[in-house]
Amino acid sequence: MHVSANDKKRSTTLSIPVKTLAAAERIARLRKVNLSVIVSEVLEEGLRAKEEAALEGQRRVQAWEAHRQSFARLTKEQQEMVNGIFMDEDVEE
Amino acid sequence: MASSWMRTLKSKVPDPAFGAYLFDASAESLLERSTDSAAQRWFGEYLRHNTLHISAITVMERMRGYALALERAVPAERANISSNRDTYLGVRRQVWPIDRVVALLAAELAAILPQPPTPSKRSHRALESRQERLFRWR
Repeated sequence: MHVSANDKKRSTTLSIPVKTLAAAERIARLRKVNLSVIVSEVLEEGLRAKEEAALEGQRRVQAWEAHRQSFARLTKEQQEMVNGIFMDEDVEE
Repeated sequence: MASSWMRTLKSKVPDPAFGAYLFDASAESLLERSTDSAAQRWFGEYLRHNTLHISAITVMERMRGYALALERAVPAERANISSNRDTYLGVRRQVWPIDRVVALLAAELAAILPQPPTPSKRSHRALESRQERLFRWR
């Protein structure tokens, strides 16, 4: 039987805040599963969320940079208009 | 003025990771135009950690700018402006609504500052009108 890297398990010792551990134990009891299952699930969710947040941040930076490059291709007059600066009145000489 | 702003930015600006912050149309436009590497680094770091937060007023101001720029452009220039508006809208933002309380406070602030804080922009024979300056500053 093939065991993927995701299914492999290893024992380790962790120091977890008492309140957090108590909450995890409560959930494990309610769901009638091992404490390790809850800790693994929460850890995986947290890591996935962190990874997704980092990717989302990268997408925001790329989108802004694309906008800046596109903005730089406008003429100075167009840039001013886009930024709400409109020269309408003739200056008297 | 821009260089003094940059000095302030370098000395007093908070850690970008402490956001989120609300950006107005002037801040967005400054960050679009700025070639200052420190400002760009700061904003890049901000975007890595936070969404860009703006108000509905900023959306209105920016879209008004694009609409008027498109209206005044010759047909050959329109695609470029339109494409820039698309890239602007392509940046994901959290847009905050203007509710009654915000509108009341904005009205008080507008009354405190009846005059635009900077002189009109000039270019050759053209001058920015008072109405446009007030619109830009409010």
